[in-house]
Amino acid sequence: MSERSLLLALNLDGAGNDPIDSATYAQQAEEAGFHAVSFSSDGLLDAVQRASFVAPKTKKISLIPVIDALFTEPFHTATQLASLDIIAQGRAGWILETLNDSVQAQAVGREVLAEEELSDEAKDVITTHRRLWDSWEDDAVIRDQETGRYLDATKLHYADVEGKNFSVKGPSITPRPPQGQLPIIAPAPLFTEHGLQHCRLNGADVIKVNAASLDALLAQAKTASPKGAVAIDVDIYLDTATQTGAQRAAAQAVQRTERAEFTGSVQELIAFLGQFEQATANPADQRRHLVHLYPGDLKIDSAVLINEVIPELQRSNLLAPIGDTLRESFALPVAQNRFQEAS
Amino acid sequence: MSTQHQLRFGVFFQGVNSSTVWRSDLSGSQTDFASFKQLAQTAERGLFSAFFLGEGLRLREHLGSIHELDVAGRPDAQTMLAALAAVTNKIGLVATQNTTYNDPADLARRLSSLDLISEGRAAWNIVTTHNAWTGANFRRGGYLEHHERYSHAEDFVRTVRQIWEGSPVHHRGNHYNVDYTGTIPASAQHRPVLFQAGDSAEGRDFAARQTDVIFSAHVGLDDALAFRQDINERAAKVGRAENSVKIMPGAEFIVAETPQAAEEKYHWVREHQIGPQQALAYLEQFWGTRLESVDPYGPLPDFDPVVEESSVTRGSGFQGAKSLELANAWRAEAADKGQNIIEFVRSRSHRADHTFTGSYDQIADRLEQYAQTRAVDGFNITPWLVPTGLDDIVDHLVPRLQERGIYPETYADTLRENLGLTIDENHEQQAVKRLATVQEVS
Repeated sequence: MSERSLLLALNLDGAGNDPIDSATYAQQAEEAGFHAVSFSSDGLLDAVQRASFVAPKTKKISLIPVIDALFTEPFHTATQLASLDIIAQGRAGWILETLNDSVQAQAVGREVLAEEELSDEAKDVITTHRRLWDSWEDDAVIRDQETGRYLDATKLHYADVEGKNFSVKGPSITPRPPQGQLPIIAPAPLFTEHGLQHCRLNGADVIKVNAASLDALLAQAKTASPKGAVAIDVDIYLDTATQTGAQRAAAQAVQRTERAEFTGSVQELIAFLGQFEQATANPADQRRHLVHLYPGDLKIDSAVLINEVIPELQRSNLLAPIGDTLRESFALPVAQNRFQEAS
Repeated sequence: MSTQHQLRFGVFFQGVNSSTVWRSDLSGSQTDFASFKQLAQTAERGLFSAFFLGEGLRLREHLGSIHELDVAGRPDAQTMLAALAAVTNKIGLVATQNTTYNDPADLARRLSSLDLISEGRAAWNIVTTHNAWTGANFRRGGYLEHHERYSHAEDFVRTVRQIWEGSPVHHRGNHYNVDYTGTIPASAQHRPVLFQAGDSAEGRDFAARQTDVIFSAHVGLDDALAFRQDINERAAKVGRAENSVKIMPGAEFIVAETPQAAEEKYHWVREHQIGPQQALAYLEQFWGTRLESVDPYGPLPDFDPVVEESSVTRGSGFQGAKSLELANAWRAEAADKGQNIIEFVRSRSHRADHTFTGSYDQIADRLEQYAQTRAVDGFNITPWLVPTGLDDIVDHLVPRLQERGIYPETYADTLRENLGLTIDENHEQQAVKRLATVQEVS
């Protein structure tokens, strides 16, 4: 029997600004059997730092920061993500977003981009990360006493990225991360004719689709899955003993997002996850697909997820196995170094 | 409280340069988290105030290709320090971060984040590297002229400080604007502690205006006393109290049970730091050409350098030297001291007066003089081995300093408290304002 394809990630922004709380939730999610937890930076502590703080306190669960690709420095984010992967020993990933708003732009003295530029900009940013991560071959540190060389310069490579809006020379200042290449999860609109679609091998690993309703989301996931691994974001409000999920969601109307929203019971969520698995799984390609859950209330929803939803998914054998690295969880092949000659 | 002046230690995990021995089985990984964790936890066991990480934003080169002979491959400083916050409790976490190739809003946000994650243990070691060679890794490229270096840096620091104060910031700079309002609340130590290492007159004035601690290069007792006086005078001019700017020179400690054992260790360390290839590469940097045919055990080259000035590509310790002047002076110095190339380079690279070599008791006695004269507030120690390079200091030297009453017995809660720093509201306001004046001039 082929392995199941469903991966589950839990967003931990609801843990707020106490990193100990983030670590506690991450440990609980790990214990329960989530594949990953995610962190975003919106008004909160830095996403990479929160993930990094959690790394030594966990062993199996993957740690995925959400980072903007437009108004950040690719050289810095590439180094930060590589470092997170080093600290977490291969458990890091990147949910790429393109926060094309004036607040972000003005914070760094730049202008928002035209919508049609986003895809090319994201492509250049991703290419920069890919090439910097490969700029050290895995065995670049040689410590050769005879010749007095700590490094072998022939195993270090200039990234030489000439993007539309910026260039990056390289090599990285940080060695190649344990995964070689971190899985990059990027929004579907970036995969357009001019952007990522034309550079799939340099591009993202996972296409994140979005839709207003759950049905539309399933349809989009089904359409996208033959092309590659798919991720969906879902806000969830589970029924509790005192309130229905719908009541809880209605009470928090100001916090509504552009993400599709799930409200309902444990059984209904399990049914939805089953539908997603059905819609995306293909035994022929063995791809894994991710459901990224944003709990309406981390404390309430994570307790139900951990105590009721995950055990039921495990009983019905719906979850993909948890790999030692995030690439393994996604069943991505070993990342070959683009600078290394095939031997 | 004791009136005895206490010294504090920091540890500087170098990650680059020849100070860290790699040609030995005793040398561990320079990149793995386990090395950082072990060194930080050892330092914390020894009640060190701070754990430092450096930053160099371009991989070093030598005569046009990647420099191969020294350790390299640093993880990102703040990412690493956030992880170390999870495995330590009290030690300060200092990130060296550049004012040219960061954005003030992003850096302010990340440093605030580290400060909260570590519960008031974060610090920023301000560096101002601005060359275009480093800029080739960044969106803005090499945009800064040399003469703007400090005015830009001070503008940058002011902007960061304003963001930390929580008010909306609308900065109009010579090179870019910043409109931003911080979202992260202040930590238990009010704001991250500020370190700086610049040593020129401009750098010292900058430090007197802006920083809490100077990571100085003045280690010898007389030199340290003169530096203290100079900094106190500069600080007084901007209304800061005597000794309110703390001074921690960078230093190396080679210590053992007996003077003889320490001496033997000293020679072992020097031999392993600088081998024949490193010695020639050191000269090549200033001569500007390969010296393969030169004997590292013979005299310095009798021919002149082919460049007028050394390049920026090997790091700040090497850049901008006038090569011919230097070559003439060095040939004379080496001949005078009877040194061959390797001996000469070892003495240049790791100056004896930056190194405390001796038995634990000898060094404790010497440090007592630093405490009694208040020459320094402590030392930022560069271990020559990773990750075990602090073991003998923590196990044998620290207890002797404690017996003499010149080293802390416990930790306070925040880095600011552990360094004996207080927040002077007056100065905090001045620091931001005074910068506004600088900005107009520049």
